[in-house]
Amino acid sequence: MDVKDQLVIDSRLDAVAEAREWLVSRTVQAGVSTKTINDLKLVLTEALSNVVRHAYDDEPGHPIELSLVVDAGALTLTIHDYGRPFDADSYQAPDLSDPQEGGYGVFLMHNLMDQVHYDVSSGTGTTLTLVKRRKDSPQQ
Amino acid sequence: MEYKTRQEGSVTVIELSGEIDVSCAPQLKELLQGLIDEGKNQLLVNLADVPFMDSSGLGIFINAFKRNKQTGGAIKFASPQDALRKVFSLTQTDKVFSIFDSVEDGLSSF
Repeated sequence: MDVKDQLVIDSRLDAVAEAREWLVSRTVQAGVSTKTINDLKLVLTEALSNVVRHAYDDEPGHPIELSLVVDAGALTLTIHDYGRPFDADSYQAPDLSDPQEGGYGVFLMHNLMDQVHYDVSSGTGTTLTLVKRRKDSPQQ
Repeated sequence: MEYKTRQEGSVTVIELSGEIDVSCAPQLKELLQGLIDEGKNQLLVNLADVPFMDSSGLGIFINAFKRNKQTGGAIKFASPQDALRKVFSLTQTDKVFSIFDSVEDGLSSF
């Protein structure tokens, strides 16, 4: 079953769980596998944490716009914020041989998704597009 | 996230339940730091009832691991669900953490 939905949350860390619940409810409705839903929950949480902490500097009261499209071939999750634009060029993958307390968020996104794309061209924040192909799709 | 602790000889078993994400990470950090500050640095974390953990939770476990290593202590993990095993595996922290299939196995390793 195809699903298309949107959600707006406030820029608070305690709103991230609300977004996870929304994602789970819509992806279960679309018949997505538990394994893929678990991956998406993690990726969404990492992305929203970065938006709240870095784009909005932990300041509540700003919108974060989420869009989810699930069809037979892929799941596409889009996250738009109006805060400080993300500098994708500054990203450095963590040194996995020397565990650190932070720096795994974007790394996990790249490992769990098929496409991770940051767009700052609008001039009003960042649009992050995350795509996961559906290996559970009956068409594949 | 909720937690209970119990003492098994020299080992403090921490029973965590619920999702561990960035919003409850400070609570988890306070719990682990408090135990270590009390001298309870032989820790076994039961993850059986934790269906989800993000990188902020992982970072707090790494912090406790490093602190305990400096003082001759340890933090080990028992019974992670598949979603958590994947986080440990992707970040390769499963190569430095001691992870057991059961609390009993974890306890017998101390």
